[in-house]
Amino acid sequence: MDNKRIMEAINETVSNVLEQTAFMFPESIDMASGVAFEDFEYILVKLNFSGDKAGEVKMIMPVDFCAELSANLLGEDIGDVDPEENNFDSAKELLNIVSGQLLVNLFGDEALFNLTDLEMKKLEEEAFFSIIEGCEYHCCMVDEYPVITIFDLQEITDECQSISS
Amino acid sequence: MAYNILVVDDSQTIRSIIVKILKLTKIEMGQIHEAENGREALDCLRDNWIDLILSDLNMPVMSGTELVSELAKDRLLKNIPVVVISTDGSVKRIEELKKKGIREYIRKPFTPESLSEVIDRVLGVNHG
Repeated sequence: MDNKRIMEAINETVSNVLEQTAFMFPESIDMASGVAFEDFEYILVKLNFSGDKAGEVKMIMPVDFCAELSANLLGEDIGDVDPEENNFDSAKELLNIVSGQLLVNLFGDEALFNLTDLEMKKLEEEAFFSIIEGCEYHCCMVDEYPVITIFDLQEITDECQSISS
Repeated sequence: MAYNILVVDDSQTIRSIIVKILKLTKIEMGQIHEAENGREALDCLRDNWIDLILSDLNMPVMSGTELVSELAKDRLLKNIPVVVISTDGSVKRIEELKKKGIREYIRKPFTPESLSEVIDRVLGVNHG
């Protein structure tokens, strides 16, 4: 699957999910557009998918964005939510919904997938740059926050496919 | 008639959103119970009269699919209507779950209106 198709699907999916769930309106940006990534403290949420295809979906977002996301999802004032209190549950759910929609967008609704191993961790600056410098990623700005999505499709050899079937 | 509803989802955020929507519907609510997984849901069902279950699929400890299978085996619980609310978009999985007895399937993200319509339909509530 070509990378352009994946990036288009991520852009459409992230936009739809954020608009529908949190009334947030992302703006897709070019990777080379000079976003001051170092201005933020980030968390990483990721999960694995398996089934008709296998791989991993990661989202990286600023901690302050998570507060705004939680407030919008729950219809509360931003000062009334503490995203750390529930271990960034809103960010994990955002990833969950984006992953489900993205897999349908890329592979159709006949494909079967299992989403597993949902994890969250805070990222040090070095770890953040190490991740984004080593891969193709989609980045959009939501208000003033950069939100990054990375889709890794595991290449399955014919031999593996015949074993699994 | 007031309806008792059980909301099953490992995400506290999603449970809170669903509970808020339930409170905004025109349906007369009794008690709204919450569970983090299928096992907690079964515990709740043993202790409470529930009219409708709204359940996620991907949950730790016991998934929504396992919960639906357990309900089908229990003569007292098998007639409680189950609405699955999940990110899983596979038509095959929805068909499998419908064969196991779920009444409706709602794909996340959902709107308050879509959830409300489905609940009305499943409970046979007519606001007219």
